Amino acid sequence: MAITFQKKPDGSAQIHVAGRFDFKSHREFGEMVKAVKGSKKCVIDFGTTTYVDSSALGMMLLLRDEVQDIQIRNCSSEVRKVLEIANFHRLFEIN
Amino acid sequence: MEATRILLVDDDQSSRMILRRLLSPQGYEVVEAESGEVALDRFREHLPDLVLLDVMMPGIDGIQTAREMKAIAGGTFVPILMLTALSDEKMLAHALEAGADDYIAKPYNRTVLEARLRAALRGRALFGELHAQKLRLEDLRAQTEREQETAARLLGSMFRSSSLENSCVRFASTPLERFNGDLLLAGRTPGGAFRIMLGDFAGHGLTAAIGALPIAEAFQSACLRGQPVETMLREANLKLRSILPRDLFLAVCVVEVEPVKRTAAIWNAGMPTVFVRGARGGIKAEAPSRMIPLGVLTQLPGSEVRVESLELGDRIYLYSDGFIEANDPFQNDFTDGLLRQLLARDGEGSRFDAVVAAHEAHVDGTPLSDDTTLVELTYLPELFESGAEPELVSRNHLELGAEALRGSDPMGIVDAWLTGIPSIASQRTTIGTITTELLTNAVDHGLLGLDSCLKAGPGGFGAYYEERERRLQALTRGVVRVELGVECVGSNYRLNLMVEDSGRGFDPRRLEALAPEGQLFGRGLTLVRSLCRDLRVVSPGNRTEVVYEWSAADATLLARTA
Repeated sequence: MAITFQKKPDGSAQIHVAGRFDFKSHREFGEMVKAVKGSKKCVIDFGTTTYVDSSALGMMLLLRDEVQDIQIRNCSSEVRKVLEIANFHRLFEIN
Repeated sequence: MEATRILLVDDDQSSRMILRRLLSPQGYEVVEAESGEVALDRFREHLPDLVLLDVMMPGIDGIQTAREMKAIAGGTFVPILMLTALSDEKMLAHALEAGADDYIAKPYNRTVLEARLRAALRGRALFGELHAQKLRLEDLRAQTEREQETAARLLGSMFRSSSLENSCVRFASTPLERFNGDLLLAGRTPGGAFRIMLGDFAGHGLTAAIGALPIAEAFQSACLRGQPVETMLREANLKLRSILPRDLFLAVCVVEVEPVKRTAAIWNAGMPTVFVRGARGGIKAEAPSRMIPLGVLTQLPGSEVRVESLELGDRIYLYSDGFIEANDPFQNDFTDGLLRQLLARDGEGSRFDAVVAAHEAHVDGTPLSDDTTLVELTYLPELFESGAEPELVSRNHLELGAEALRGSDPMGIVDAWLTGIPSIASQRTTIGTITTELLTNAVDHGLLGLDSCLKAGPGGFGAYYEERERRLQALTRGVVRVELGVECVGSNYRLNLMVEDSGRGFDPRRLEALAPEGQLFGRGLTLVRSLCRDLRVVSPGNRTEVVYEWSAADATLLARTA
């Protein structure tokens, strides 16, 4: 698990989650949320994410409290399935 | 043309002479008999077209002779004209009662005799025509009945297709002595999907049967070849459109359940709304008609209704319009509203018997004007058992004590094992999610006794995981056991996963109940339940078993592209 992020000059943030996105990511994710707080927009890239668990879903809700506009990119069909079962496609924009 | 043959019966020879002289020149063939006995023999032998019969004769008299001749003639009409003196009125009445058709009074008058004979022969011709028509009608009716029986037998054998003999399918239908216009078929695709089709022809009997044959064949061949339902319906629509008369069409509903994906798709073309009842009651989904019945247009616009995340015990109800339009003695319909109400009732289990009983009570012996069919399809493991024996792919068993749990990541160990099984590759993400959820629950709630409510509030996640780490490092006793098995069943792979902890057990329902929409925690088991075919929490709550299935086709597809 490795969460990396980049702040862009336009005020948006690019977040990349590699490997397992589960409860063990909470510290890293929490630090990232603090850092990107106040960004206009966040793009989360799930391109190299192997799987997400329910605490990862909870963490995404934490991020949503800080950043209104969140886009999810490069979901595998399986990750998308998990997000959809939790009805997260209603809360986040999934591309 | 053959000459008209007249049997002339009189014991008086001179009387016979007179009549012969009158008849022969007219072209009649005359056969004579001098007594009743002889007359009966001649009658059998010559089968005359008409009989002239003297009333008064020694031996068998004319009346008795007439009666016996009528019996011999059976279904054919041979007019009998009595020869009598006008004074014999009483005798004449007797003769007519015995079966004689007319009389000729002595002494004979050529004109009257000729007129009476013609009239009698006209009657015979008319009778002959009527009789022939009656025979033709009887033949036709017999033929129709034979065809009806054939249709019923043909469709009956499809109706009783082995796929319908499934503990997951129940149906009630008006008796199938004749083909009744409602068509019910079931089948399974090579990919393991289960399909059921209920059709209702605008029309009954043979006309409906004619249309039923191609659609039944299309359905079964589509199942065998794994052809998509959509394609099957489009092709069947074109076929019916080309063979059916304009006023005849087929309302049809097809349900396809994909056990592995846990989805149902419902194509409804002109049938009443299909109801999906949740395993614990309530109406989970409805599929109203969204397509035009088959055989009406060359195009088939509209789409199916999809039901995601089926749970074990969910039930799908299909029925024909005859079922909801069945009248009670006061001409009130049963209605789909009442059906929906009966199906929505809270509580687990089937509503089939309850609905059938309510329907019978409603109809209360009122004759049905249309065919009625009710079908219940239950989402149960039996639905996707293709009968194939499971074949072991790989099995592993892992036990982690307190020290191992303190120092290592159990998911990392499981992950390494999962990576080594190629047939899992296409599903690693989902299986990883499922396994993590169960392991997390076993450690956090089972062994460490953490309360998810800690996650609520600002900084909740941090607080929760700090507390988790603290308790984990303090853990000195406790075991987590994991059993993972992958097997191949027919065209599917199946993962059996069991996670058990040595804790006192916890009630996962309490956790789930804590999770309103948007809550930060508590959706773990709900998620697993939605992903898996089956999830079982064994009392007292320290052991969870799940079954997850996927199609072997998905696995090979991935292997080829990899």
